Amino acid sequence: MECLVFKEGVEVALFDNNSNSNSYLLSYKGRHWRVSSFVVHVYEVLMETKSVDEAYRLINDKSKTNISVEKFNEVVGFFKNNGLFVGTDDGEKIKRASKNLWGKITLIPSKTVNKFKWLGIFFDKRVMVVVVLLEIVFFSYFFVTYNSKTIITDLWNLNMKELSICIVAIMLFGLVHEFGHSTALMSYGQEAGAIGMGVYLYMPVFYSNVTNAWKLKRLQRVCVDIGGIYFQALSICFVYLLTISIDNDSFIKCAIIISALQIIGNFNPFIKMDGYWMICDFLGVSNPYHLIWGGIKNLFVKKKRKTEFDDMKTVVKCAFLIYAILIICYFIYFIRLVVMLFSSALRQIIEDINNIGLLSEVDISFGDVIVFLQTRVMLYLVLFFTVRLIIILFKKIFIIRRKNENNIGI
Amino acid sequence: MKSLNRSYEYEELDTCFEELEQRDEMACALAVCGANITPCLGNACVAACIGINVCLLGLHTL
Repeated sequence: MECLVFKEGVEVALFDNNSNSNSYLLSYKGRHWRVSSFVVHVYEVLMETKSVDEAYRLINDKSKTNISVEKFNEVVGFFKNNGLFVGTDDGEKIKRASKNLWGKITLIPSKTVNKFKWLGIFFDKRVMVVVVLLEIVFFSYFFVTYNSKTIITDLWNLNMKELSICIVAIMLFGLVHEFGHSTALMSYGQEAGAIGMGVYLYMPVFYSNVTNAWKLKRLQRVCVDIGGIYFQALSICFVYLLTISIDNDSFIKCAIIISALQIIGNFNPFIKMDGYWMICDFLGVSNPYHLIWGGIKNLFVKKKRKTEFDDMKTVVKCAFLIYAILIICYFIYFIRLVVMLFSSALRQIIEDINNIGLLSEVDISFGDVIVFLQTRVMLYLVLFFTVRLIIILFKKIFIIRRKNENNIGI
Repeated sequence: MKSLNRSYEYEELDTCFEELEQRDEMACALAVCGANITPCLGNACVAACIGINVCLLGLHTL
């Protein structure tokens, strides 16, 4: 008689995903699963009984449908494989991180981030309404009055020192942005994760781990998503007002303009920027890419697999279909862009190699080296990203082939 | 969740358990679009990063 006890910290709560049927959120040590009511019922009977056999008997007695041993064991197996029972592996190593965010470096550990919980005052409804209104007024004025040509000229005319300050300022605005997400999460009583830097696809990014946001209601999750832009805009307004009262340095203006443009960039709903999470949380979709891929696969098989899409409300289904079409169009554009960047990067590297011989003939200053590196960072990131992508694809194909061969062997 | 006193009803036995991905909210660092003043690459990155070309905002002068 097998006795299985859940570890301390395994929690189940209703998951707010705006669908027709109830979904639940099973959480343990920062990992979260969306599970069906049947899985929760198995969890409940296992919590109340002393053995698996007894639990199976009980769930069958209580249910109006005959539950097969296979279905029951499938759920028990899921609990076991993910280390949710006492005496099983914690599953820490198989924690699911975003595959496209690589080279992660922690800048501010979770403990330090959580010390800034007091900033949650900015997410008080009344405070937020006033601050957002002020931000809208400021940015409307800013974008209407700024002259793009002057800004471009200013950018080109920056010396090394000014450019460095400009970049540092932009990075600080980025960090404030991440604090915004973490603070919003903490204001809803959840623990925030670390803040760090990494490379998303081929773009250097700041990130803040707000995985616990899954425990929140949908609109609270949307608020966590907006939190970054809200804080970044606030810091831009603050710095702008501070600098125009002190001096009128153009490089600070450049930093402000670039950071303000970043805010627009963050609304991109197709890659995992804030706009993506806002749409996901608003619609109640946990992973649109998986959903689209599952839908495409379902088109080609006879036995259709049930997906999150089937449980969606009609209005949400229509909105998601439009979103899915736009995602597909964006990815076609994105692939074209990566191919273009990759060929450009290759050409540049060949040119650089050819120029090595000329190095002894010219004087190279420190500034030249900095400018060279600055213009090559993106190139090498694109190269590395593309090569990494190709390796991952080959690995996947190899694994699928091996699986198929093993199945044939059986 | 004390539920043993109620009976369970299912339309179908759905054994759904999907792990939700780690939520890393991201923002462009280094502002590669602006700080990396290589016109073509900078513009391409902005297009990828922002999704709409910054030309709309007047930066086509790059």
